Amino acid sequence: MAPPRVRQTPGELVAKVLSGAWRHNPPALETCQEEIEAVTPRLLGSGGGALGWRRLCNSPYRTSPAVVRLQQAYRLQALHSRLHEVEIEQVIKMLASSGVHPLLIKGRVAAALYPEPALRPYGDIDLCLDRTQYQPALAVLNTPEGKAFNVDVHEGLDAFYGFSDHEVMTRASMIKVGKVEVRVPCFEDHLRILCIHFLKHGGWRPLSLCDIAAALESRKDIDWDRCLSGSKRIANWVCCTIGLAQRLLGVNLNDLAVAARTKDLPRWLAPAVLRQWEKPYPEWNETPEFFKVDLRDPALLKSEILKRWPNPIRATMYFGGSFNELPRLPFQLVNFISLGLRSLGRFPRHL
Amino acid sequence: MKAREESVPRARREGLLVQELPDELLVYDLVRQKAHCLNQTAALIWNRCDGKTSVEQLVRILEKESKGPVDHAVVWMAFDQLSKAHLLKGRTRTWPGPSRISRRELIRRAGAAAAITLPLVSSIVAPDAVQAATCLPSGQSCTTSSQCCSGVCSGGICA
Repeated sequence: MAPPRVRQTPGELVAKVLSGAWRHNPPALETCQEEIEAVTPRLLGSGGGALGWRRLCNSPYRTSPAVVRLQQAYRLQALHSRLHEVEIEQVIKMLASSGVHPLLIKGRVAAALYPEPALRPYGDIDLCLDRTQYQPALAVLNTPEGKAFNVDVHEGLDAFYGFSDHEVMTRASMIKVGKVEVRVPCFEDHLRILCIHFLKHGGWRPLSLCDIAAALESRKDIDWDRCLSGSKRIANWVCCTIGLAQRLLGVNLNDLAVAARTKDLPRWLAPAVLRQWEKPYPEWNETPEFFKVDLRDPALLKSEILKRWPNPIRATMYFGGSFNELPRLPFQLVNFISLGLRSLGRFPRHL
Repeated sequence: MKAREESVPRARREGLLVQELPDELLVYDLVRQKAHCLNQTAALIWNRCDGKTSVEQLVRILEKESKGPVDHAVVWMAFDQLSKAHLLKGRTRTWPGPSRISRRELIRRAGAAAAITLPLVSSIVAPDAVQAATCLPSGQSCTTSSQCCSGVCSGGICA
């Protein structure tokens, strides 16, 4: 007799379906119709539809309406990936003709480590520029031709990532996007960017952890000294994210020394990520700007507080804290109050 | 018969973005902003629409690919679908046979095995992720588990 099926939370189901989906040969998935129906909206809403299709395309459920929706997402992403490639080519050529040579980060760079770029959706084109090239790049992108593209221009890298722009620029390598060569951070720098970016956004997007998993399994010779260089806190963030990819998505770590460093996750961390994955939708993860206060309506007040209550990962990152066993409540409380004060500060401008 | 001698129409190539997948061909119409999915038979026919090849030659190519007999109506059915999707140039030509042929009629004529060679051009529509984002909170009435944020619909109520 088959053992009784253990009911999993929606977050656990998302993790189960995405486990190994980035591989050339994804493992077989044991599931049922009810699970597929519960997980499909979450995959579609968070950009994991194509990866879900990859896990289910050889299953007996491949023709069910839920799985067909995942297949449609895959097809659309395949087309969008081609369009995105063409757009990157045009933007890079346009900037190069003005002597600007940006660093491409996130989206397309992460996608290059998947078996096919269609497995990942794309938003804007993330470009990072050193301080001397930032204004010339803006001038190009503010022309009528430049405005046709959805480009997010960063003036250097966020201090959060813990390295200087000069270091990243000098270590950069080149990849081919369509017919043009584009500068990208070296593998280790980009892995660090992906890990810290995942935590900065509170770990709400499962796809971002799949990017990290695909990157980790794509190389056997990762220079961990470079990846974990700098402060202990940065190393803590990167190791915790890699540990999450291992715990939640079953990523294979080739380097045993690093595997040992990523094993001891704080007990609250993985459950906190799984709670985020129950509602992995952008609109659920944006903090509304203004409080609706009506002291006669305690239910409204409660719901307004809950909407703004920061998740423990985001609250920790807000203060640049370490991920350890200490309670997260103080971080969350102070984060909540500071966001409230900031919102209050904006209020007079809207009167 | 005229149908056998006639040459194939020309495929439209401008304003299209084409992406090949293992079992199908995706075409995005940049002008109409519509996406289409062509199965292998439809893709093969569309790729051979050069305005020179005859319908008869195209049938032979399909027979070689599918290792079996192919009805001429299969090719005309593909032209019809490709034309409706604005993937052919010029005026729509229709099946010159005695009456308009349906998919069901074609399967009946050629036998069930022919179904695998039937052309199919389908539209790709974005799956409704917006609907996905509006899951029901605990305590709300539901009919299926997928409607609930918790993923569990128990006794008509979201857990």
